[in-house]
Amino acid sequence: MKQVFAYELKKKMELEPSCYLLTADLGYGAFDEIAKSFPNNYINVGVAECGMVLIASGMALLGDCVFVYSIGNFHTLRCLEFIRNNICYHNLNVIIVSVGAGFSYGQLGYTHHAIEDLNCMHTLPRIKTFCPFDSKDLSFIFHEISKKRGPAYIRLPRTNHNISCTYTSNRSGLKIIDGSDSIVIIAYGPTTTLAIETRHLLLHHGIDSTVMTSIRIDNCVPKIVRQIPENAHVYVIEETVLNGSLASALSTQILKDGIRVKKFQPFTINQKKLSKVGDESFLRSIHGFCSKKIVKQILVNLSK
Amino acid sequence: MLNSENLKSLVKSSYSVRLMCLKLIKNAGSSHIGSCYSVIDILVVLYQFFIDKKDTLHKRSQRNHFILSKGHASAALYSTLCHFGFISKTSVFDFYKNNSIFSGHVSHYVPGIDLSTGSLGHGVGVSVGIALHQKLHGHNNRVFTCVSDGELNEGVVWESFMIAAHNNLGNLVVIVDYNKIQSMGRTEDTTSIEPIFLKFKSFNFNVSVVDGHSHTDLYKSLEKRYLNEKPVCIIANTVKGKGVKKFEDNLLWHYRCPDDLEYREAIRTLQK
Repeated sequence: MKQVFAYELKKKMELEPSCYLLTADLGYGAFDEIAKSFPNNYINVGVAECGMVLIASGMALLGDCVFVYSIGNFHTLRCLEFIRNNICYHNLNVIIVSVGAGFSYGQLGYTHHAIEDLNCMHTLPRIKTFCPFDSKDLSFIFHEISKKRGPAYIRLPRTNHNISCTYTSNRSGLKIIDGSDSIVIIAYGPTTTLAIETRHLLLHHGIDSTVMTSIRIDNCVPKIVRQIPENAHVYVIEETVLNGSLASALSTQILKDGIRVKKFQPFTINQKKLSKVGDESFLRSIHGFCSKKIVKQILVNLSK
Repeated sequence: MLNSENLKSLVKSSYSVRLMCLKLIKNAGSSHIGSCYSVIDILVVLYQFFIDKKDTLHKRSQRNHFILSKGHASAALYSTLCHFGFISKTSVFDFYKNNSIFSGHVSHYVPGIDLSTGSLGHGVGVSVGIALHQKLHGHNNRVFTCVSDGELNEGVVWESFMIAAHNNLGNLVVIVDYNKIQSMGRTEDTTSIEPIFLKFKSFNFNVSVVDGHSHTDLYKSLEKRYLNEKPVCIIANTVKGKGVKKFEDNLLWHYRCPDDLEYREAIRTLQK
């Protein structure tokens, strides 16, 4: 996915001479083209994420559009205050790009599990957050961030998922596969695959469901809630912890709007299992969200 | 250009700003008079000679910038801006008041201020970014940033310094307001930052040490251009609370607001 991101960024740099990419010593092989074509616009600051975020802020204060790139938590959690006080508070045109969403780097251990980053970004003001699923989503994202300048967070999965599916509707980044009114499965970014797989498995059981996924996360809650039918079973699959998750925001909105749902169940990361390491599939399974386990739970809920 | 007339004007300015600062703090019942008084001479020289009012108020990108990274000296900066005509005398007395733009730490909502600071260590990195922008865009402007000595405990400032030096940001000027006292005591007793000259030297800065209350020394060091492209550090030896004997070199004045008697005595001293 970082190669696709680099491709889109290079297109943007071709149009905007004041567009810069700063990296904190990561992205090996991904930005060679950019570095070659725009040597003055590509800066590796070294392993200095906080410095990178501050420097990007200074550049953006004078009108530059600055992308800052690193893995998962390094320039998000570590730099939260710098993002808050400078990028967000001053409404600067800095786009924070992290690669390795969720358990993308699962084998590398807890330090590399990006499972709170998005939640933390959502506590900050003015920042648009995006979780692309595939390369087409990245085009949409670049269009959105060019349309309106300001802080943004793009959370890239490690791999570019190319699972084919046909969406019934795709409006402003909210994509829906229309199915039954009684089961709604919501996911985004890398867990979209799980949502689609779950839907397919349910179909084998003769049960249809609706899948909703959004590219942009910070403002999607009211849009999603408007689509939820009354008395539905709602399942939210996220590769993040529960606190500050989309699931928690959706449940709050549902309660606030007085929407009646028969069941609301998040599938999020179990914070009691943080020491587990392994690949993405393994860790998702350990935390209870692989499609088979989700389907099992849905069937149990339906039987009640 | 520094001449005897300018020097006289600077002396007057420094007392005038100290007076205003004292009044602001007393009116607000706020802290940090010690931190304000140690930096005022630095500020008056900067704003007299190096910061253009019109360009700053219009937020032109091609201009000299000043970032007060030690944002708790807000009353000093607001007083300086007032003295040099960036903001009005009446508005500045909203300092610290409910719903005021003049917050207790420096705010970018105040005309003439580019960056809200207050959490130490941030201003330095942002200044490096501004300097980098200027260099990349081929602008011949400089960025001045003032840090406190305690602020040099923050790791992020050293990250930023390393990046500045590596990128040959000779347009970056870091001024250390070295008053030797931080929040809980003397800097040497907290986490010592010495040898500060050698530290900056080893980080590939051009370094000078000046009397932070000598306008001549300050002017010369701020004006100086080096032949190499290294960023500049001016270690300004200052006295916390400088200007009123009772406030000088005393941790108490990091926190205390002068009572009525202390206030009147200080006014008398400054007015003399």
